[in-house]
Amino acid sequence: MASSGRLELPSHWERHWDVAFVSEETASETDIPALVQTYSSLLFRVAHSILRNRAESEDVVQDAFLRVLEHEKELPTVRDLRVWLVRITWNLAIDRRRRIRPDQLDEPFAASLIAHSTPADQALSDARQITATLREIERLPKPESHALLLSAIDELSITEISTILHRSESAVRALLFRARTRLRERLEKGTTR
Amino acid sequence: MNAQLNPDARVDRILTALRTTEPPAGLEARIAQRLAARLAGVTHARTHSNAAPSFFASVQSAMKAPRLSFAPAQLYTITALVLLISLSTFTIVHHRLATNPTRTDFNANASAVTHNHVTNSSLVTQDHTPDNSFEAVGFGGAGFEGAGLQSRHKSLTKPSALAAEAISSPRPNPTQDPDQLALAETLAPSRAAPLPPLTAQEKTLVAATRPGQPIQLAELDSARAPILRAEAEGRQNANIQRYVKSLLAPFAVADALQPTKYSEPREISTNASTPPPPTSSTN
Repeated sequence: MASSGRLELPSHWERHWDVAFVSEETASETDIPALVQTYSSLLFRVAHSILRNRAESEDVVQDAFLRVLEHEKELPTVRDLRVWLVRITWNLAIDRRRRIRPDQLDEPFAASLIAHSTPADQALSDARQITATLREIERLPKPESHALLLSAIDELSITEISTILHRSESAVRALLFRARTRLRERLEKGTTR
Repeated sequence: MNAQLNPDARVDRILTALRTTEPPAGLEARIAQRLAARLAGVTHARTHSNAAPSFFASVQSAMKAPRLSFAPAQLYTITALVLLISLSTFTIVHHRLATNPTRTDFNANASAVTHNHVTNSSLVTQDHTPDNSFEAVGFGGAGFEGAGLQSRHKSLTKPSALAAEAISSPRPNPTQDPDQLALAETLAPSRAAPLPPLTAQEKTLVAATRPGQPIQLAELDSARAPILRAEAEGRQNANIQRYVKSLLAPFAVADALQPTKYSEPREISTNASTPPPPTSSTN
């Protein structure tokens, strides 16, 4: 890649890239470099909420943009490109999650949440609790856990989450409420046990 | 410690961590690199296919614009192909013409025979054997020698009338006339079926019953195996002794004519075994 921050792209992409950098408002959403620039962070967070692993999440984002490239001609017909991209990434992340054992991803993620200044015994206890919480989230019914994880992403509104999950907004709110309630009960049981 | 006690706080902590996750540095660059690599691969494949268009693609394009698309080398190739095809066609047609006069007349006669099998049966049995007739129809034309059949054809009583009748009558189509097909199959020459291949057991028997190998034969019968083996060994020993005797025969004759010191003990022993000759007594 170029040192100036510009990406080395094919010549016919350069025009779109310039447009994406120079005037972001006027950039067409169907330009793939502009899409990369605009949505890569969001898609990374979407994938990371499922996978909780940075390398795997980046792979998923790259795969998602490859899918976009394969369907480049159909992009103008996509009604809501943002939701479409999130849905592609979401499905790819779920597919990848099926091939990976959860403890492969959750334990490193839990360890990364512990501050370095925490004493060793406290860090170990915190890491166990975070891992247990993540395990309980995974044990939730799929619609509830998916709604909960998508709600963690600030950029996504309830409307967009409902579109991604193919449910109504009220259903998504109900799923979120049930997920929090069920999770609280289970975690309390686990704490008192 | 609050996080340990409050489940909601633990959940919020995780959700906040997920929310605040920052993408790794250079993510966009790597995505663009991968997309560019994919695009370059596709472009390379397209360029490669454009650089070496297939022959059939050029022929197809040449069919649309014949004078513009052919390169000289391709033109030579096509000309050579056309010449080759025409030559082979000419050869096939010539071969058919060389063999067909007899075949045509004979087919006609055969058609006539099969079509009018009731009325012309006497003629057929007089001039044609059923074998040849139906060989011409198509049931095994192995014995279809042109000259011989032509000469036999000339010996027909009314060849031209038969041929004309055969030509005027439609040739039996096996798919359309099952009766004619059945008649043709009934009168078709019968040939002996080819010998079936030997089974594995038969092959073993043939190999075992070759002369001079009784041991293999004995292997088939476990009860007689020791006897046959002993017989075979005895026969082999006898052969060896016979051979040695034949080798030593000249020496035995020589010894008999001129006894040497090696032959003396035998003579002594023979003399010892024989009674001494009677001596004349002076008494």
